[in-house]
Formats: sequence, C-alpha cells, structure tokens
Amino acid sequence: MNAEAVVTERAPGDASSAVTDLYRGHALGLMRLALVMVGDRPTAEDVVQEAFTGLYRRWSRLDDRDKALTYVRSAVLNGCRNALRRRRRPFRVQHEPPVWSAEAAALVGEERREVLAALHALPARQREALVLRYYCELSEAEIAAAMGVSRGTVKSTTSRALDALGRILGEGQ
Amino acid sequence: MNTTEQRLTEALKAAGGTLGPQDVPDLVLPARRRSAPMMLAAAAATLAVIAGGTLLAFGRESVPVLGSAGGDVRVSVFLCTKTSSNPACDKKDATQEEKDEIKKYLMRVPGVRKMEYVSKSEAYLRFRKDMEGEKGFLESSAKSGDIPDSFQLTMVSKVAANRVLEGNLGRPGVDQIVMGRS
Repeated sequence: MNAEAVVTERAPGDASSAVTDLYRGHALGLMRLALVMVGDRPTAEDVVQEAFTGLYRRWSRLDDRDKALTYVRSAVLNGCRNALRRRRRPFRVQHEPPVWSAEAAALVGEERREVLAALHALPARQREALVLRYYCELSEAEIAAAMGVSRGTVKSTTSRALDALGRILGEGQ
Repeated sequence: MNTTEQRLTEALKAAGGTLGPQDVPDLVLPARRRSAPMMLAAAAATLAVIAGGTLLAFGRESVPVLGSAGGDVRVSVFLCTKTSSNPACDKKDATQEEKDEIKKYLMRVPGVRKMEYVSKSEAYLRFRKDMEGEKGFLESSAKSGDIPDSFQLTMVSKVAANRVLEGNLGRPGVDQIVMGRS
C-alpha cells in the first residue's frame, strides 16, 4: 500500500456494531447454507457463530471492510468442512439426524432427501460450488471469492458436480 | 434448467426452509478490553520520549496499542539527534541520506494508511499545543530540540505496526520506535 495514500473513510462506530449489523442481515442465510452443508441445526448454528466471532476478532486486520461478507462466508464454508471432517462416521454423535438421512424424510420429503443424500456423496468442493450457486444464488465471482479459487475453477467444478449429481440420481431410478 | 438442477434447487430450498428467522440466535461477541490501560501506556510513552529514555517498543502481546478509528495503530519512528542517548546514533543527527533510506523502506511496508514526516520544530509546536493548560509540565521540561525529527505512521493493524518495528530498529539514523500516540 502506497505510504502517500490519503486516509480512507472508515465506517463509524466500533467493530461490534458493524459485525452485529452484518449478522442481522446475513445470519439466517448463512445458517441455511451451513445447514445444507452439515445437515443438522446445532452444528450449523455453531459454525455461523464461530465465523462471526472470528470476523469480530480480525476486524481491525481486514484490509477492506467491504469484504467482510466474503470473509464470513468463507469462514462458514471452512467451518462446515471441518465439522464434517471431524465426523469420522456419519451420524455418530448427532444432535439431530442430518437433513439427508432417512429419519429426516418426514420433514423434507423423500424426493428431496434423496437429492440431498446425493449431494453429500459428492466431494466437498463440488458440493460447495453447487450449494453456493443453486441455493445462495451467488455470482461466479462471489463463489470464487468465497471458495478462494478462480472463476475458471468454479465453472469446471460446478459442471463436473452437476454431472456427478445427475449420475448418482440417475442410478437411483 | 434441466431436471437435475431443478431437483437440486428445490431440495436445497426445502432443507434450508426448515430454518426461519426465529431460529437465529443472538450473536454473542467476546468482551472488549477496557481502554484505560491504553491511555496510560500512551501517556507514559509520550513522557518517556521527552525524557530521552530507553527503548519503548512494546512487544506483541504485552501492551494494548492505542488505535484511532477501528484498528488503526500509530507508530512513531524517531530519528537520531545529537542529544540521543542511543549509542547507535553516535551523538549525531540523522543524515539526509539516512532519512531518505528510512523513508524509502517505510513506504514499502504493507499496511501503511498514512505517513508524514514531522520535523523537530513542528513536533515541538504540536507538543506545546497538546500540553496546553499543563503549565508546570511545559515550563519544567521540553525544549524545542528535545523532540526529534520523526516519521509518523498510521498502520492498519497491530500486525502491520509490528512490521515497522521489526524492519527498522537497527537502521542507521533510527533512534527509537514508539507504538501508539506521540
């Protein structure tokens, strides 16, 4: 950063009000994202809380406050990835059955449960690309930023993921 | 949209839809540190500089650093003068070459929001202005030559401020580096 740069305008108020505002606007969407990634509500809640707490702690180090949403979205994805990795066996210690399990069928319906189960059979990055596109409806650039990859990677990953998903669902018929 | 995409979109919407606004808990943020210690540290730094004292570079974890808006951290890089007690200064003012070299390096440190060069006389004027109303202190201590020439930087974070510290402590012409308001 050029040392001669003029002082940039900073958002008034301290970190906690800025982070709280962001939370109010986006926590529901992010919890839903986390829910379809990890499958159960309490884990989704934890992941989102952690992501915002992390944002708060790093607030002063954020180069660009406008990137706060991207940061917290990436943090949610990372948190979900870690949560899934920690579960060596699926459904081992669950607060609730994941949304793609047989038990959850009553809640979301069999067809949808089948699709979600297929989604969870995909590699993590493919699942993320699909969810960010078809659920969060983010642009390719936004998906690339959230996943920390190039737009080209997003394109190819999404296309591969859809093919794979289609094959899994096709096999089920 | 073909069937797979449609099925996916609907399934995700249904799953996510099981959560509503009522399910979002309140955000609980970790408690903030109080600012009183910061004020004391900054005041102590100012006084110690006037007294031409020892190195005041705070370690990474030791003292909370005063920031203005958000996480901004002020760093003062004080240059050698004839009266500097730092042996590295060799009782000489920093040369123009040394100042240019310091400026060149500082401009390359990542995270600099603002940088200005403050001469001895300018610094003294500012000091007098800051201390207005504290008669006893002014009369008994600082004279114009006591506050050295310095580069005043505003860094975006404590981490960035530490970079200034690490990169410049031994540099020719640098007497002291102080974190926080000067």
